[in-house]
Amino acid sequence: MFRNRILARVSDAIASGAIATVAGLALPATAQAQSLETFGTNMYGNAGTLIEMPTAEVAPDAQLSTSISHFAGQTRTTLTFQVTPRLSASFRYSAVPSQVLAFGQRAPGNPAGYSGSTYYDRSFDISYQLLTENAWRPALSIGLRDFLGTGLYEGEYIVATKAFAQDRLRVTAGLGWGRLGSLDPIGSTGTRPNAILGTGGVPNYDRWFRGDVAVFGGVSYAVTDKLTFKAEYSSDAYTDETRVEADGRVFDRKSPWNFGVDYRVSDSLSFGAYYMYGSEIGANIRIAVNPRRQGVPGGAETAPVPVSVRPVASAADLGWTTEPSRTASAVQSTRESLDREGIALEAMKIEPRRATVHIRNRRFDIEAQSVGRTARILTRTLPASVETFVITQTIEGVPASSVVLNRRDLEQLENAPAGDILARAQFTDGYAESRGVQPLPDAYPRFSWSFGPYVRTSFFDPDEPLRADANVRLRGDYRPAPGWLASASITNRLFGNLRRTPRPARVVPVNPPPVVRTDSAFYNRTKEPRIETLTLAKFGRLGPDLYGRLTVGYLERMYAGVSGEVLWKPTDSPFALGVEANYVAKRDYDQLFGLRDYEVATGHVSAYYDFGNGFHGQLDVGRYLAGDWGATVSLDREFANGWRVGAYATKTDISSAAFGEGSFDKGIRITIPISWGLGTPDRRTGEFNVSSLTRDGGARLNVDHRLYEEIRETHRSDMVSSWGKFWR
Amino acid sequence: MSVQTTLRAAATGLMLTIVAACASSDDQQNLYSEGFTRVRAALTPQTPPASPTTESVLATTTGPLMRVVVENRGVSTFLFPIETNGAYVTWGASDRRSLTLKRGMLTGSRGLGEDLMSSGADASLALITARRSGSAQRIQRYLTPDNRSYEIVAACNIAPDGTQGVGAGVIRMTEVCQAPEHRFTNTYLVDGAGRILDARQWVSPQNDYLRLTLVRG
Repeated sequence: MFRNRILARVSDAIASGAIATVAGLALPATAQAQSLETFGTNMYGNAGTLIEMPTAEVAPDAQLSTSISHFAGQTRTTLTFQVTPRLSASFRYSAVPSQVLAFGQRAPGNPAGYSGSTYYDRSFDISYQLLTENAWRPALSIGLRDFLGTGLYEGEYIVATKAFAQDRLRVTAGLGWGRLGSLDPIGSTGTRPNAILGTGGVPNYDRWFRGDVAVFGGVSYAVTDKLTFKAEYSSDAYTDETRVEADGRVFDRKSPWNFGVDYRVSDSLSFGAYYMYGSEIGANIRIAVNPRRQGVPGGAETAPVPVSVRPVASAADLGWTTEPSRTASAVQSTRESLDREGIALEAMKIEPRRATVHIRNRRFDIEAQSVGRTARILTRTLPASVETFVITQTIEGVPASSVVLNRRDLEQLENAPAGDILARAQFTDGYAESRGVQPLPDAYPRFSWSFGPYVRTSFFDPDEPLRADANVRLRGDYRPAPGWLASASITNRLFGNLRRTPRPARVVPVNPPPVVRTDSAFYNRTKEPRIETLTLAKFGRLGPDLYGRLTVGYLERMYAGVSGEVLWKPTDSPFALGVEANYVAKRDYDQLFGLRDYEVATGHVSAYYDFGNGFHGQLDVGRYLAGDWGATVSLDREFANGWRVGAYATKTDISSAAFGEGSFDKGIRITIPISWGLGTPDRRTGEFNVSSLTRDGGARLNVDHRLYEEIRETHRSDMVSSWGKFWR
Repeated sequence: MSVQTTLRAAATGLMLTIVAACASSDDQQNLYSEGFTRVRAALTPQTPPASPTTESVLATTTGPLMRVVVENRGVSTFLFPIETNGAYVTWGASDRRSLTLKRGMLTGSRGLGEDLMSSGADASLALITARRSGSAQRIQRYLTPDNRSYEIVAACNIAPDGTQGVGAGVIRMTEVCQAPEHRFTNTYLVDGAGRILDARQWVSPQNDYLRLTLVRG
């Protein structure tokens, strides 16, 4: 009866989610009041209500916006994420006329020899609101634009913004360096070096806040909630773009004044049109998504079955224990009820006062919901004397964490806040709870398959905004017994451009490491069926809090061999430690059974930490595919609905000269839960990565079913954050 | 067709293409068919299905029956009691949505989207069923889109509103509530035995008001 309204919201969520992510890049537990919030972004995609100049405004917390702006022959696509209420980070992919490079001294290598008419540049910005606004003072922010690498848009600023007239009028003034200090400087802070550090991709910290300083400023006025007028004085002289040379200039800059108007269609969509520098028309479109604010609150899935309360005094009746058929029928009805919820019953043990179930959650992306629904079903299917429910979640047939609940608590707290049942629930290690629990006879063996198209993509590489291959994949998984998994997947390329060899690197590596990833395009060439993976894996418990995995076979598109892993993760610990060791050989380009002449031992010690405020960190230290030693640091902001936005960087003992363009490996990644888009539970996710140019240094092996991500969601530390779903 | 609708349809298709595959039914739904259904739903104008009439439902069912109307969507359905837990009765609809009532007052919903997870409104309930005036605190609990629990805490004034002729021995009680960001008025028809026969209650910001009528006790 409620479907239509829900669908509208669902598709809203999908629309903004997919577009924001595909086109570009987007926790505190409680809503924090933010200072000078805006949905607007400028031509650089940063939060702000001016046109090109920065402000001290911030986007709503967790806002992920994509801005596409165009003027004077250049197009900037920017993904901006409000990392915390005060910290914002942006990734930009710009297409600029290549004349700009011929004049500038900015790009590494030999940009003057670059032959295309369009140059693609990637850049990163960061800004931090130092002071929030109050009645007496403006908000104050500090920021860096394009602070890594080539520095086409490089500039730093300190800026103040104050709101007036019931927040309709916002006035901004600031000091800029770099590009933002290029027009009529009022002074200078030292000398700004010109050279690029490393081979690009390294913070140019020696230049920040150095050199000429200029003043910029502007005002914006929101006439209505939808319509905002703005005017600014830009301190960017566009020196390179306006120089007249043989090729002609990029544009004719006649004035420092820019004027324009923004129209906000909704919180997710807005447009801007501007008259810029006395000669150009600029335009900007923004699509925003907010993992915290959008989506169906609580989900639109159907209702759970309610708790069944036992009749008074029935709990003393143990008569059923003498009738085996009663036990058998309880197992049968439990299995059928769970099956209707998309939960598979793998094992069950019923004792007079206690019952243990092993469940495999096929539907719910939020484990608390799966456990909550299982608990309610058990109140309906188990004899009245059973007082304790042990619900153990299994991963690949292996018991992970258990939730122990008292039936009486379920009966009494069904209509109470979810925190009440959380306080009564115990989380224990499924290892101890699973002793003597036999799998149901028909739970194994199990076979599943899938067939369908899939797309491999490469976003925003330095040559093309988007490369993609369309493929089909046939996949089969056979599970002969708990913990065993035999998998095969066969793919066939349909069409696409991933096979194209990238143009020669702008920076030729000196004494490079072995080729372990840079020949990736060769693996996309064959039009014949390819064996993507062909593996046999064994999962198991090695002891309390210890998990193990061993995988052999054709592990990934490019490598085959053996991979072993041990993980230590107590259920209530925010900290986990893992060790992975692999010995692999490189596969032939045709991706059949043959191997190439490269073998390597690679592996890592990994530490995982859930900071508890929505941030999750990981540190991997070890030996990478090219035999290089080093470490990877990752930091993600994780939302309790499954959204993740994060970044990582890897530095190994390969020098930046040997690494080549970018100096070291780094990237940003976004995970969007399908359930957030659909509004109903679903365990699948969409993942989007934008990484630096694929190089051979700091490259890792890809293995399916790495333990940490498989088991963490069943643990207390993860379940607590979305525990409100227990009663949903 | 609005810009938003077009965007949504295009993006839905795009996202589904990236992740879709057909599969054996074990662990995955077929996202493709689901995707097409949704895209089609977004592109075609929708007319709500005709609700069965109260008379026809009364004639074809037995036992207690409640009619619920979601006012801002103009849809209605019939609910049957499916479970009792102390003073709470959970009523279910045939499409697996449910409402939980405590002595006739709505305290929870499941399957509406932005569900009312639970309520703390015993003080209001006591005044209303006693048909007395007074003030009380009402707590309504929800989940955010990122699955966090939050409460709307309202201060409410309860009083009989003096409407005549709503039924023999039946009076109408109003509960005027003020929360930091929401203001709402619930109304209840209460009989001499303190039973709530009919209630119009604010359920959540997006779902707004539900009208619950006990058709057959």
